[in-house]
Amino acid sequence: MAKIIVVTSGKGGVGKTTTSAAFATGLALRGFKTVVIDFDVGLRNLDLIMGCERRVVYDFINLINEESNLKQTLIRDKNIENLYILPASQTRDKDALTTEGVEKVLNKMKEEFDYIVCDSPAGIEKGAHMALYFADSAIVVTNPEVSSVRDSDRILGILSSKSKRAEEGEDRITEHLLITRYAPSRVDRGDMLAIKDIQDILGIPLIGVIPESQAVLKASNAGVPVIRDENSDAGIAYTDMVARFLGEDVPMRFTTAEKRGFFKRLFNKEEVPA
Amino acid sequence: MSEATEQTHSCFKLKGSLFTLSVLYLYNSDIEAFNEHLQETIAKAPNFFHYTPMVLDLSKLPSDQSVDFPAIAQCLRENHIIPVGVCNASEDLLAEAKAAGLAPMSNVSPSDNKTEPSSKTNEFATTNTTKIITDPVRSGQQIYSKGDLIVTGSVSNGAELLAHGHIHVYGTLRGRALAGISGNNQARIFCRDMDAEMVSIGGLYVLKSDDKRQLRCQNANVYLEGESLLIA
Repeated sequence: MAKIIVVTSGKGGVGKTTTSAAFATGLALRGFKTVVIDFDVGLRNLDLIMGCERRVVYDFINLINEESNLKQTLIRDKNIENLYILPASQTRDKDALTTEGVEKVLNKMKEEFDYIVCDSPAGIEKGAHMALYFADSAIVVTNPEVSSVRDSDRILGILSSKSKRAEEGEDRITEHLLITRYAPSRVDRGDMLAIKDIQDILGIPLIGVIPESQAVLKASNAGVPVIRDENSDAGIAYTDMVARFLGEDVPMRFTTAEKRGFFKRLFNKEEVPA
Repeated sequence: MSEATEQTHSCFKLKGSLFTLSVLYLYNSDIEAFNEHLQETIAKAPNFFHYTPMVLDLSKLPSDQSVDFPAIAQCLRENHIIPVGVCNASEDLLAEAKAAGLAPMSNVSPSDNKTEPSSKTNEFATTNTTKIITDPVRSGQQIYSKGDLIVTGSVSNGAELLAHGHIHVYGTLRGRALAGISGNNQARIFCRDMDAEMVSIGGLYVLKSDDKRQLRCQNANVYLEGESLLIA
């Protein structure tokens, strides 16, 4: 039986889709049969990050309306076995997502997959609600700044009150905190919230810290999930995070500022933080 | 505007509304005993029963007993109580009640009536006065308690606690806490670690922006003395 994981945040632009793509890819690389679903109906993005936008024929809404079947609709990743993408519809809006429809599709997938990763849209409206409603676990993506932390807190409240598990009184959703775009040097300067401050406010276990990295933008533009860039800091951080999700004990990396030597400062100007 | 024109064209308008009605549970139909008991009850609180509309509930009446509705109605009216209807009556009795000019009321579920009044109030006392919240209270959530409110976790920015009684927070209070919201000046707010946006007791409040130093402290005890809110 598959486990359903929602990647959510409340706030937009914090890295939900980047995380969904990297996390799903990471699980598939570990040998689990994984599907990643784009719940952002009307603002389809996941297919771009996953590099399969030209192969989209049918979408999530077609599947809900039974205009296509699972086999026709799921896009199989070209490079990684066990990885499938369910794109959102670009021409519809979130009202096309119905509780019954989403449940039906998820139930069908549950038989075939090990993990179902739901990429939530921003906000707390229909799309976000549908993405988290059936979840068993949640990865709450948070940037180290106050508005993102506040929105994550709001989403955590919704996870504990408006999900299926909450409504039916089952075990609560397992919550994980993922801090993205973390820049230790800016934390040292006091420009950014520190990991501890965020954890104090949200009070849920930390599953990873993804550093602010040029590799992320590069990967997005290339349509290759950043986790596949094995030499990048962000790619390594995502690999660690997948390991922690699977229960392995991996120490946090990239959480303290690097001491920059004189020559490095002189010759490596492009890495100077903005 | 439309309402004004309606008023000139018709002489009334029908609307549904909810009223609180007293219910008289009939245990047996002996009219003399009924009259005697009624007199005694009214003597205790004459004003309360003056022209009070009353519903007769027959759920407690043994099923084989017949009821002299006209006599009971007459007896109530003589004591300045207005009988308006009957509920939980068998079909035969309901027909008789209608004949006596009493309205059939929707039946109240028997489960509500089963518990004895005394045990019912006890149950209320334990479930309604104090509310305990063990989950963290997140931004956008509002927790309301008719009595005291105890939160064992933290209360985030943008969350709100409302209680008619005292508020206790064992985690960090970052949101708003309003104790004694119905005007109870004796209510207090106790907090292990306070960093509140706002605290209020009996409608008097202090905002974080008013006094940063005061609202950031450990082991806080907020109470009202005269017209000022004190934080110790």
